[in-house]
Amino acid sequence: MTLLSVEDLVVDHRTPGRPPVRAVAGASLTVEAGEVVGLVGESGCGKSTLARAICGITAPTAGSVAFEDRPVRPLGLRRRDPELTRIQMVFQDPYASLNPRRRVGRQIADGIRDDATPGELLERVGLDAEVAGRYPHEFSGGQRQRIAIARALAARPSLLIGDEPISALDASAQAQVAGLMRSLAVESGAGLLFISHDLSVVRLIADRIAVMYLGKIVETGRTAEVWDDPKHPYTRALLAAIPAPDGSGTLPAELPGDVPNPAAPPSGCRFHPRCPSAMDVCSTREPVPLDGVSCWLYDTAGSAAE
Amino acid sequence: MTILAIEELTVELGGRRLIRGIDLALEAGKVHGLAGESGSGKTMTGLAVLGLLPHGARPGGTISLGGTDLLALAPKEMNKRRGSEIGMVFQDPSTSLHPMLSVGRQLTDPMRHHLKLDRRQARERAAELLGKVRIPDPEGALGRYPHHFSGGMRQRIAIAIALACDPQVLIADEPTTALDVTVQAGILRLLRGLCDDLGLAVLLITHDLGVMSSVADVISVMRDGRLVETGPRAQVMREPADPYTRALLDALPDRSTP
Repeated sequence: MTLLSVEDLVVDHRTPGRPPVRAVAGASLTVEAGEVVGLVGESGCGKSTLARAICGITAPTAGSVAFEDRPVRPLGLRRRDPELTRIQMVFQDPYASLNPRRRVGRQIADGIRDDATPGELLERVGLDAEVAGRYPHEFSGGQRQRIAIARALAARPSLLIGDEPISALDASAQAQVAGLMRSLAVESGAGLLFISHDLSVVRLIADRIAVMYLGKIVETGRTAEVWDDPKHPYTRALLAAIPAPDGSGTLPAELPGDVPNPAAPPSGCRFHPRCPSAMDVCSTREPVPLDGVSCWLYDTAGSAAE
Repeated sequence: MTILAIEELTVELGGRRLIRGIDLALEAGKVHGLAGESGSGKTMTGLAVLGLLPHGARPGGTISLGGTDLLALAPKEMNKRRGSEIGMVFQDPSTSLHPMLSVGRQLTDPMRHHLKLDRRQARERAAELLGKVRIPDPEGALGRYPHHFSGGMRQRIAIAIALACDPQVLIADEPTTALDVTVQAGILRLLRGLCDDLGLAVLLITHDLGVMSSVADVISVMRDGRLVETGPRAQVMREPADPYTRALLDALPDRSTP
């Protein structure tokens, strides 16, 4: 049984009077129990929309999301199926995701499924049990994010989703919080889908990496393999853009151009206008994933069939 | 050639000493990196140079630019220099640009004020500057607003504004922290190029040692309001003299795999 399987998910954002924006354009992804999957990509590529669709916060236009082989229905007015509350999410900004007018212990207690106490949960995320009586404003950003994690853990999730959980934090707190999420998820046997634009952090905690570009997942693979031998030209560009702290003074490689408008994506492969190794076939036909990579460079049979 | 010399700078705020005596010398055509954890006083140092310290802060020591001590200047004199001789780029371009003024207005205002250019001259220069920071269609961009641009483009515009009056010194406070790595690479190349072409003295404040290693010529490491180490890039990054610098470098994930 696969813990989470997303197949050909399509999510459109509709604004009255404008054409719909296809934020996620057919993404497929799986997360196994006890596995940490890192989802990376530039801002605006649809990472967060994908996460929200997995939780059911945003309704998908097409495709399916299955959690433990059961479909995830979008949130409605009625109470959510208790089984589905075992998907929990940690949001980007802990200044906005915690209620400023309620004590943190009460907020954690909302989700508790068994006989755990808020104090125990706070201790699991490295805070003192006594702080349960305090309000969110009494904590630093890193501590608030720990509280948000404790709140998510209260429901004993089997799938934890972190939507850029570290990007609002100080650099010194980022690695700590990311490591904490990983160890808590792995300890309890839950799966973790960790979304971030910071590849160096994802590399530290993820077992598998999925690289997203303009609504599609272009490459997936084991973290070490993707890091040491990136296949897709976009993954290569992303990795080459990370400045190395080696003291040599080499400027990182630039990926020219901006992410195209998702309302009017390029034809064929979505990366071809920025791709250094684009071929004729790239602008006309969309590549299909082969061994986790969606690129005509590796699908010689497919591109020859043109 | 030293353009800006900071000597024995101290900053006191609410009875606490945030900066406890630092010395920095910024040279023309060189990027001087200032590294350190959050709360170490990096940003305060940048703000002190611009005379933008928070209300109630008491600076001490000297910051001399071309023979004048900026800390001793009257507010009116400081206003003349801020934005003309010293430019600044802030972390988040979505908050440092005014959302309701056109890019052209934000670019021409400082030039008209400091350089006393007329409307047409200022517009011409503004378009030229946008070209220099590689904004596509500079003429057209002047009439657009910040929300029309992506994060990387906004930061380029913010850099163009900082350069509007030909400053000698550019203070860049975490200029790429809010950006994607791919965009960051472009901004770093731009900063390096501008520094080389215009002979700017750049103070680059960042916590990212990777960024530091790719553009800075000289690196200073700050901790608790003091400088623990200053030296050429290669030496600080490869053979740090101070244990704190070594601890910072050892904390980097990429360090274990050469």
